[in-house]
Amino acid sequence: MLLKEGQVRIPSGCAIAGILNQQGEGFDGGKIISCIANMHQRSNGLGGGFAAYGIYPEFKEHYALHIYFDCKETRANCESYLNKNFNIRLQEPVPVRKHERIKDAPIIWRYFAQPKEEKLAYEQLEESEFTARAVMHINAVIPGAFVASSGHNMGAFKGVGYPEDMGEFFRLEEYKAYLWTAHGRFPTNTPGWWGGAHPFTLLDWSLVHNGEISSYDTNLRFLQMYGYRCTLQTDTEVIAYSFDLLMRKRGLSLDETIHVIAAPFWRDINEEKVKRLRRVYASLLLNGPFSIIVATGNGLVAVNDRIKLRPLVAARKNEFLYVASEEAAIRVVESNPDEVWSPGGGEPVIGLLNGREKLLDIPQCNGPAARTA
Amino acid sequence: MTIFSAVDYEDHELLQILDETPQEEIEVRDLNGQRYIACGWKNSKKLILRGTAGNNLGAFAEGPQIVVYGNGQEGVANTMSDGQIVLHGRVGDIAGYGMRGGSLFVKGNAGYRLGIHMKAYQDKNPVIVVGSSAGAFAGEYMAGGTIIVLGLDSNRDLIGPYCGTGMYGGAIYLRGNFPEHNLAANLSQEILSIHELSDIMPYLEAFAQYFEYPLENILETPFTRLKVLVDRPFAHLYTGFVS
Repeated sequence: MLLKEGQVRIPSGCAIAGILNQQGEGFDGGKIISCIANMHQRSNGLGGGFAAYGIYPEFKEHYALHIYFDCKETRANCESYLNKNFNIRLQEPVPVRKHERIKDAPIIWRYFAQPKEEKLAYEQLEESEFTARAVMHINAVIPGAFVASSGHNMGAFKGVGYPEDMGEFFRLEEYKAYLWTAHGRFPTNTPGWWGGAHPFTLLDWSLVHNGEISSYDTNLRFLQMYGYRCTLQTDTEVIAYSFDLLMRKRGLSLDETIHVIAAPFWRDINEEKVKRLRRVYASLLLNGPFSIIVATGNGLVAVNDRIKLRPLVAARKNEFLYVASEEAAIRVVESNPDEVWSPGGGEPVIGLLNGREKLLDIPQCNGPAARTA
Repeated sequence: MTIFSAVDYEDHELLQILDETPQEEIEVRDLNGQRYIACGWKNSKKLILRGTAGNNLGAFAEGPQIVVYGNGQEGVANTMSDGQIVLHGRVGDIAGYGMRGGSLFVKGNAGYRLGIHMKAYQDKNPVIVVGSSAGAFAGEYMAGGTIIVLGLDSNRDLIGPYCGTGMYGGAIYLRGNFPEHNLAANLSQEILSIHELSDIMPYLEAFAQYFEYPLENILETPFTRLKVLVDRPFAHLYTGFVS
């Protein structure tokens, strides 16, 4: 008889890992799979996933939409919405291989698309905001469909299973990325379904998370006021959208954003600017334990909650930056790092591609929205 | 001595083999993150580990003598009640959590929450010696035992914020300077002369011996002892009056 959780103790926590080649040179998914597989015991087979940056150079001007469907009718329904709003240069199934431990996979397609000019003009939106809203629309309004990723030259590959199995299922050895993040899931309060697996993404953002956000409802209500629709039934989703709101839409720097989501205790806040951020964005403070890796096409940042209730280790070797829940996960792919350290609570580890100064390039607002009628 | 290579076994097989090996001295090579090594051991076996030890090394152990040539991760010596762990590297968070006996020697840094909830009873007196620095919340809720932080070869603050918060027993010894605002309010500070170090001298000598560090270098910088200002400081926390 299969024992249920509660009858058997499953000692576990999520696992996260990230690898960046700061020179932007691509490497296949084998390395990140080894990392996350080393932490197999931290997850329980109810979720695994990867984000990969630099995998679609031939389509780098297009939004790469990875979309999951529960059936053919849903796909048709979603495609009619996409065709109305986007010019699609290529659409195809995401290549997968049959895997004995990956079951009940949805239909998974990718679309390389650009918003239609006339739609942008009509909506008075620049293209990234238009695309973000389209993602929200698909997730919230088209039953049985959700967008796994929607950025440029990147993709998320996620689902229900152990991450190393998920990596084989999605044939990640065939992709070359300069930045990989990975997650092994141990769902605590929320269902282990394909949409609930990490990474959570929006546009170029991707986010993997170990921990739980007890401020989820507070964060959710704040984000809803700015058009975000949280539909994936998992706390982590609000972290991804918080970064998007603060950095893409409000133009906050990474440092300011960290001060909002992992604000120090009031007694430790001295700067007037940080006090103001703490007040204005009180509802985006992420309360609860977390270690996260947030990535964009420019690099990654790994950070803990302010009192470090989850593990996080970083290491460097030449042009490679590694971050992971456990040191062992780094040593399995880099046995002799130049430097290994544990960042403190709320103290970000930032890795950017050489020549990039910011984690996110803010889109210029000189598109159709700014055009005179 | 029996020697195993960790890469030859699944994690649970390795634990089972270590449990069942009758020899008194065992060495494990190529260790990389395997959890629960020597967890709950009630014996005096000598275990030599080479590589990165996984979470909860020596948790609940009563007696084994463990030497690690490498780093530890989270929960080293978690609730250990006897035995010794000597670690030639650094450890992650919650090292010595709820420790109630035995000793833990760490050559490098310790992460957050070092020795929180440590306690002592009769002849049980747990000791943690950290060679470099410790992260935030060291000694939080500490009820007994000894934590020593030496600040050797370190460019970080000796201790992180909230050191000794909610502490009500035991002692923390800090070598050299430390940021005073990182201490909880309920602690007394005594600067000790070399003659007042007799309580911890055996541990300092042991540290010097294990890591081949000259004892005189350790002793040339003064120590500060942190203890609670009053006994049972939280006795009336919920009753609202002071007797």
